[in-house]
Amino acid sequence: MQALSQTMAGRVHGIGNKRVRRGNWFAAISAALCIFLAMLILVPIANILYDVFWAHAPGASPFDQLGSAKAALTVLANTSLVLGVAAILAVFFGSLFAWLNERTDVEMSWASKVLPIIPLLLPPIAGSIGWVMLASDRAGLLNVWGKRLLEFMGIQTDGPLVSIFSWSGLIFVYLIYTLPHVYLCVASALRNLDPSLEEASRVNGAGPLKTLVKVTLPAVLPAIISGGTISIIYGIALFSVPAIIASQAGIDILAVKIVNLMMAEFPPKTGAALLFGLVIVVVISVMTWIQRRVISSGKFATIGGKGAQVTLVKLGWVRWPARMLLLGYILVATILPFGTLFLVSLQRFWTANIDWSRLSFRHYLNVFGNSFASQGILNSLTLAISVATVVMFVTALIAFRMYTSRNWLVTGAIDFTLKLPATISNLVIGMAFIVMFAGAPFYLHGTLTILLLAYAVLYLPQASIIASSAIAQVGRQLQEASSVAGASEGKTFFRIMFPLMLPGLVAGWTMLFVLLAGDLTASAMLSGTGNPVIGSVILNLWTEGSFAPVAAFATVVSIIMASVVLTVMWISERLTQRSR
Amino acid sequence: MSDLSLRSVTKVFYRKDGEEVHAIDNVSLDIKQGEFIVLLGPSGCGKTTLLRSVAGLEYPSSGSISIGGVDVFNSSRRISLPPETRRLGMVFQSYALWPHLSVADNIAYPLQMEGLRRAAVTSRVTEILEAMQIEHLSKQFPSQISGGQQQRVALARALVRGDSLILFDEPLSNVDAKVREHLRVELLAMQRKLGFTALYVTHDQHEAMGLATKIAVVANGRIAQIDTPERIYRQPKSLEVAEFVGSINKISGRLSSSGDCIRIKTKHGSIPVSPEAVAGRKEQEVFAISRPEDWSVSTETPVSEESWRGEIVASVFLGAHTEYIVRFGELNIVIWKHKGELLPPGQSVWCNVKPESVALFDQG
Repeated sequence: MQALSQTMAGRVHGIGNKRVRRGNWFAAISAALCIFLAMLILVPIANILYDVFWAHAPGASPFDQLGSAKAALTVLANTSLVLGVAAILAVFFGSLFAWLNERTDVEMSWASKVLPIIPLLLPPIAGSIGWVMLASDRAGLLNVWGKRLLEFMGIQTDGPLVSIFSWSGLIFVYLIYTLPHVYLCVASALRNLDPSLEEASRVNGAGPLKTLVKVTLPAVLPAIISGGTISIIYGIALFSVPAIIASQAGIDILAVKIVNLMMAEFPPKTGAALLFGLVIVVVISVMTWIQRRVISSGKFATIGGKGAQVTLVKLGWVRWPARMLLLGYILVATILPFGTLFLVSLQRFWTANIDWSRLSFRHYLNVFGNSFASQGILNSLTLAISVATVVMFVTALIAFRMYTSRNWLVTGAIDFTLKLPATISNLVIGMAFIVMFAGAPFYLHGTLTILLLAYAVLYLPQASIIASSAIAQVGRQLQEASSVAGASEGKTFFRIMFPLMLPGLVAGWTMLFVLLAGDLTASAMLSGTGNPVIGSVILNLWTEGSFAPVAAFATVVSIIMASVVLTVMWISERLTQRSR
Repeated sequence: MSDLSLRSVTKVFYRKDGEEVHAIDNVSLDIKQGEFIVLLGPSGCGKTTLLRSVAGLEYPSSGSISIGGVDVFNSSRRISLPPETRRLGMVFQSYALWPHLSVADNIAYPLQMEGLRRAAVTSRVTEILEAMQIEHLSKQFPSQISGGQQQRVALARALVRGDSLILFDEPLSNVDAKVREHLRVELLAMQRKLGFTALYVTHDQHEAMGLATKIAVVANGRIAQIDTPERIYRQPKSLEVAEFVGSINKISGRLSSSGDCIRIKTKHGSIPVSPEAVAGRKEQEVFAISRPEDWSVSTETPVSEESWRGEIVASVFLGAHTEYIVRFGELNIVIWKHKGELLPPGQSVWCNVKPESVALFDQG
């Protein structure tokens, strides 16, 4: 017996037992992947910090590159103003929409499905261009048609009715793209909030409005604040909207400034760009900290187990205005800009005086005849599919290892590293990748490889959050049952956990695919004529002033994105139904 | 040779405020082949942690666990076999059936992990499906079958490999009362037929009594008593065990003997006790413990001077018996009567308890 238990003891440490050794092989691959990813994240960052702050030539310190302090402060002030106002509005409208959809009889359940995915349906770059075509001072459709309408009614106006190239225009488009983040936060908090809290308030004599103010709002306040921080985190790193609108409006915005310092200057002012980039890092860190504090301090009363029936607030006569408001947002965020893009793309050139008889698809033919543009689409799709697939799979694997691991220290370190790029922001990562990989010894400038690596790093945080939540939805006992049934870790992963995580992973894959295919931030810095991607093609056509062709291109891209998103949503809904 | 043996198993964990909690506190236990041991205790007493430690899903802080004479865990020799090498079956509280695999595939899984050939797997699965009378479900998915059926599939999966030790983690707590009764009988028949050793966790004493060859009452991470169901009920070793298993009447009083006559003197009267219960105690303060069914209640004036006079404050008809709450001063006694007419609240009654059914525990 003694001898037998000795051999068994030997097996634990991986000597001679086939099953245990296979487990170690699985563990070794996961560990290698973790180390590789950690290096890919950490080394370029360490490298750029060293380069800029220690290895610079005398007199070329990053602070010297900044130029006048006043100009730098203007950038920061502009950015905070735009982001601040947009975030406050987003918090107000996002929470309002969430409350309307979750707690009142507004009865627009389709809106609650569409709202959170608006940034995925019409990518910000396409939306911004659409809005420029709608509301630019002279040729914007709203301005020209609106004026004609007023003239028809006998009202004379001076100047444009609306102007997208203005503070309010810029804030408006930021609002469109930050609102869904707040909505998602608050709506899910409301969904998890025990409705009996509100019922108790109603039974105890408070009206719907008083209940909202005294009970509902305080209960979801953590979610509202965290929605606000998320919209700031998202907004500060957003490049496409200010690239299209702010530059022409003469408003210097942080994200654009950083990219310009890297791309429009020769030699690139990496030091100054990095200093600005560090501002973003600080803002994101502070916002993340606030968010964690708020969430951990929250005294949530959430529903346990079975979903409870919510008594909906009757809106009465307010119902129709409320519906109009929701519908108005969806219109303004998707249908209006997309319709405008499509309309402009059919014209010979962008004008509000449409000759309906001469509309044609000529630009579509030109765009796809143009090897640069079609290569861009092809590259983006290839990169998006491969990076989304690989990253999603790898993060699923790592999430599984972290789920089963008992080593909290290592698990925590891996989790921190994988989520680090979210804090560092895509702009700084993009810079770090240029400095690290563009020149010697890698010479990856203008290749798909550098884009592939940067994309993988950039979207790791989202992927690992999705993977952890996908695995959290699979009961722990299902994994334990597999172990007890004699399955090694690898077998448990491939036969049990991976198939069960699949619905969550598929949804995550879609999100990654759309974000990757529409990426502009990293692409603006890392892609050149040799490796065009969708984002850089749009930006190029835009700066060239080929408005009708860019509209055609953006239309095609939006259709591709929206059909992928809707198809996968449909598939994953069916998948979840089946496995229940 | 004992099939499962635990030696000084201890599991310590630390709360966020740094407080040390002993989920399992120095537990030693020996289980022979073919025994059906039920770990019975209130929730949070450590019984599930103990079971999961045997399975290898939890890691004790110290001690050793051996299955069939082989150490699967031994803290001093730094042995801790992963669950997949321990060769035991387990039925989980949530059944833990894999929703993406059919019933047949769920049951085949442990055999496939063994590396069995496809034909051998199929024939063994068919065999166990027939034994459990669920062959008609083999192509269904877990979400398509009832709770009781899921329970059978979970049991079939645990038994299919023919392991000699099967663990049960409150497997019947999710099915309704009728099905539970039925499954309990079936499970017992299965265990007698196949002869596996069972370690079964529950907080339901009826379940424990109905299944166990021995019940281990677990409290605060320790085994308070391990014995046959009857002895646990009739001769609890501690107040803790008596209070947890079944209903009791706890009466505080002073032990006194005059000649042959041993009594507990209380504020409300005296209770006769048998010499065995005294067990060498002197005159001291004690708790007299008795079961509701060992009391009798009558409206007739008694002959015996040990009868207490009280008033019924509640009478509840429960089918097989009627429960009376009888008040003596500020003391309430629960009494179960199986026959006779229903006595109304307010009725004044005479009650007494059989001396041989009174157990004594020291106070303090």
